[in-house]
Amino acid sequence: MIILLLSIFFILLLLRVPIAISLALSTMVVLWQIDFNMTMVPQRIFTALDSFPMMAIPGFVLAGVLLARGGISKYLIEALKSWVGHLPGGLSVVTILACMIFAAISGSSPATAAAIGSIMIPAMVKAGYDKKYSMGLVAAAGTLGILIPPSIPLIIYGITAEVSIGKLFMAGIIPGILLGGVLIASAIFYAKRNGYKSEHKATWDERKKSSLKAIWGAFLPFLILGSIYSGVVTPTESAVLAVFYGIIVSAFIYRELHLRDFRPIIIESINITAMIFLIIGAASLFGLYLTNAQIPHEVGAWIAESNLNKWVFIILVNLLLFVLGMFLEAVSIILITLPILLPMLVHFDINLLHFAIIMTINMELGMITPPVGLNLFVVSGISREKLGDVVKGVIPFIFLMILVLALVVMFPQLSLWLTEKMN
Amino acid sequence: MKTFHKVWKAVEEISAGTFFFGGITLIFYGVIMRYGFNSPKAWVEEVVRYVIIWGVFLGFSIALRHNQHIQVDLLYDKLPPKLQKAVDVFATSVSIFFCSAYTYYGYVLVEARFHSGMVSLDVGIPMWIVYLILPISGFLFTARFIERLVNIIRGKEVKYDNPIT
Repeated sequence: MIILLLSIFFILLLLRVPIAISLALSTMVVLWQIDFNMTMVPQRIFTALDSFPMMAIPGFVLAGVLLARGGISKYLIEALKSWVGHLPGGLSVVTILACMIFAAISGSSPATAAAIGSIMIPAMVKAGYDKKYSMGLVAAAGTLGILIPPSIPLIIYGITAEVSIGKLFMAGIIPGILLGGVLIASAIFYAKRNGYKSEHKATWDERKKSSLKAIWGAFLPFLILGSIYSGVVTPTESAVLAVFYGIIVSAFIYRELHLRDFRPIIIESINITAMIFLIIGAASLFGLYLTNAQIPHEVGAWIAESNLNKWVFIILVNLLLFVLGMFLEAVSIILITLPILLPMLVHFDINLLHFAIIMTINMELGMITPPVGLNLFVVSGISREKLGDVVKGVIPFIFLMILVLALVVMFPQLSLWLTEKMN
Repeated sequence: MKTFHKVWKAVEEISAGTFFFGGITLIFYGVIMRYGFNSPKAWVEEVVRYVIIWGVFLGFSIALRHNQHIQVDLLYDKLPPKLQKAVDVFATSVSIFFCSAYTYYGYVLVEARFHSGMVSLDVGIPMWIVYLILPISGFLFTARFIERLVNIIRGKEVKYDNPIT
């Protein structure tokens, strides 16, 4: 049955049926075979989404769209330029830092790549940077969106594995900064080797001026994380605080958000959320079949019997996630694999917070590995270049990210230290 | 015909947008009431969930219009134009089939809940009203896929807005 399901799924996928519909329909075909009560299908799609933590997703999506359109990300970039633009590879460093800050407000990688890339790719190309390199850098640094909290995949992981979303967010901070640091180091090295000119050094006066302008946006990550960790609000509510704070800053302080911008902003947020929600609904339908056929249970029993070594298991899981990441997007991978993996993680005594970060970095890789990589699509879209050129630019970064992934796998403390401090 | 398309688009966007942003505002209202006025509103969480889900489900068809539902172009890009058209027709028909089934079973579910009289846990909204979004969103989604199928068969090039820019 499961073979039939997967074959139909991959055939539909190859014939360009949207991922969500391929997943839902192939599950439905199998459910028909076992005379399942089919009214459970729409009901399951509904109940999969019917939870308050899930509502953080529309919240953080809207916050991200507002940020990109209301001037906040623009002024952040200006301020960063005045501080680090004079370093070798200054604009690359600005790009990476801007992605890190944006990632601390938005929970999505494509949104991060789109918001920063639409400003920084033209700027880098104009300053003489290789276009393929600039596109690759934005695609890679943009993936930080899901590692540095808030993060949509971590929200979904938390709901599925029943782990505290606040703790998951905390676990992503140090690995996120580590990955950002590695990218910055590589950017400086690359710029030195290629002799890229740096920006002129800004005066203290200019720095003060641009920072004062940007400080409103720079406060947002602290608002989001601070409000969650002080226990004042839930992650969902913190997303909404960020939305209203963003509206006030953009409309009344920057004066770049007008009433007429409101409709496109809402529609764009609905677009992105609808795409994610449909995939969540479809993937949980698949999960319904899995539990019904007792597959997680069987796989767990099989693993317990086989004398698989813990490290062999971890390497195999990483390979599996990497390969899946080439073909599917993050949300569906988490929802499809996590129910099966959970009993094994318990068996091998692997910390669920640690594993969440391993999984998230794999999902980041999935966003920049062809043929299906959301960040590749976004960057190719905003720079109007062929997907192949973006892929060429991104390849070195794939290796860097695998390096960071290896570090995070080997040193659980990178993910766990902050969460232990929190208790 | 042109007015029909305009009205169709406006109905989709205004209804989805109102539910979506209304839900977000309600969450904000909940926080304000809890801290500002020290009178937490227990009904907010449940109503918010339903309202936002209504908004997003109404958005399925909007997202389709903007080509947001991710698909895999691996094989498609390597095909000659004629076969591409065949694949388009196939993929769209399959999607129409799924949407019709989703709409139909959604309707059956609404009918069953109507007769059983089940209500929601916290506020007591009849569940058949809550589930009404399933056939409604299914119908709108199907309609957009049919529109797309007609466009493909007629060979009409449809320009989609660039997603996420």
